[in-house]
Amino acid sequence: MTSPDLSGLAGNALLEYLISTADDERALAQLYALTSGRLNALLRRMLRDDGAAAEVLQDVYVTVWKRGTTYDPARSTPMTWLFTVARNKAIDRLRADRTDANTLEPGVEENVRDPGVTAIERLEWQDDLLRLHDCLTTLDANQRSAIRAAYFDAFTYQALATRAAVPLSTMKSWIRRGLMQLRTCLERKP
Amino acid sequence: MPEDSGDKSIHAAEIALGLTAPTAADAGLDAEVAQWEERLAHFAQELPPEEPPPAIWSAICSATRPAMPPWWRGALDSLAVWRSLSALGFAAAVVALVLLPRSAPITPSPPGRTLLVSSLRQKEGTPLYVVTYDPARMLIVAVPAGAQPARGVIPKLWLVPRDVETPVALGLIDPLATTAFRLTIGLQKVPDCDSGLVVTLEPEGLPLDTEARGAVVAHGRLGAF
Repeated sequence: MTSPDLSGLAGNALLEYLISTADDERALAQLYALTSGRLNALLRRMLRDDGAAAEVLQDVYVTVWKRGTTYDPARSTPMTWLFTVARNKAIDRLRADRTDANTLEPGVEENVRDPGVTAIERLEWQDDLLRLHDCLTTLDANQRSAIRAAYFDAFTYQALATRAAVPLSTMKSWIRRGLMQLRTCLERKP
Repeated sequence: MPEDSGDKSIHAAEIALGLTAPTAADAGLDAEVAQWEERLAHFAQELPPEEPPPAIWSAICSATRPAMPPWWRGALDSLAVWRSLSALGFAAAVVALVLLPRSAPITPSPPGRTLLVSSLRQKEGTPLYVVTYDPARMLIVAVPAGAQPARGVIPKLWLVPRDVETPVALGLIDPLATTAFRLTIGLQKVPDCDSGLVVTLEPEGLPLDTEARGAVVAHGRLGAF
């Protein structure tokens, strides 16, 4: 797989394009060229519908064009800000489409992909991405699955509990303990 | 808002994950939420990039570029402006022309292919040509849609990229038959949904690689089909 370096020079370029979208017509095009593949992958994964992903992706960049000047470099990296904008829009879309998440049948938990890491991916991935992957592997399988599903599928606690056929309190415990472990692991590793 | 710092961090993570909606009381957690967004963004980064369909960019730039700049409108309607452009130098266009148009065989675009389309109309709105651009194949096809041949002149198609000062000559077109141009690598500015297209009527017998001498008879703007 390819995983462009989004830090360093590429990150600086993103920052420049992001803060210039309102004034420079070409900045949005450059930003799109550098980032649309990643946002498209995220939206297709979350929405599982190419048409919906295309609509949301378009909406994301129009929003960026309108709100690029509100981006705060002190708060997050450009790519994280873009992921957050895209993900929030996908969550809105998913939750609007789900008339009642609680109607999910118990026990039909999706087989959440845990991609594993090949030797080549280890070479290509950035350190922090590898660190996240390694820290996730230290979590209990239920915790890991629930956190990934919360991120990619935008399920509520209740929906996640229904999906895993466990009480709501159990699901909250899995996720909260998993997040605590994850934070500790990420902060500990160099 | 939770009191304990560990609880605050987890609450911030829940906000970042979308499991909890932030309230006014969570305003002080912004930095913590941002930190979690940064951590969790690595989930998205592990996905291999997937190039979106070309139509999405077309739609985005249509939505964000609703108006043509004034010089563009003027250029479309004013022969004087065209002549002044010529006087300023069409060297760039000539250079591009050398790189650019080649008559191309026309084969149907595969299903699902995104095309940009423009109806080139006279000033009063009468259509003369329909032009399609297939970005994947860099193929421009001009089809007559009301154009009539005229003695002593021949239509010539020009590309007017939005942010390029000098129109780019694509080549002579047939008023009675379909004409196709394959844009070659080396073209610095390819058509997109910001681009205009213009047809002039050029005196017959002049070399192809020259400046615009004739009147603008039709114009249009490329848009997503």
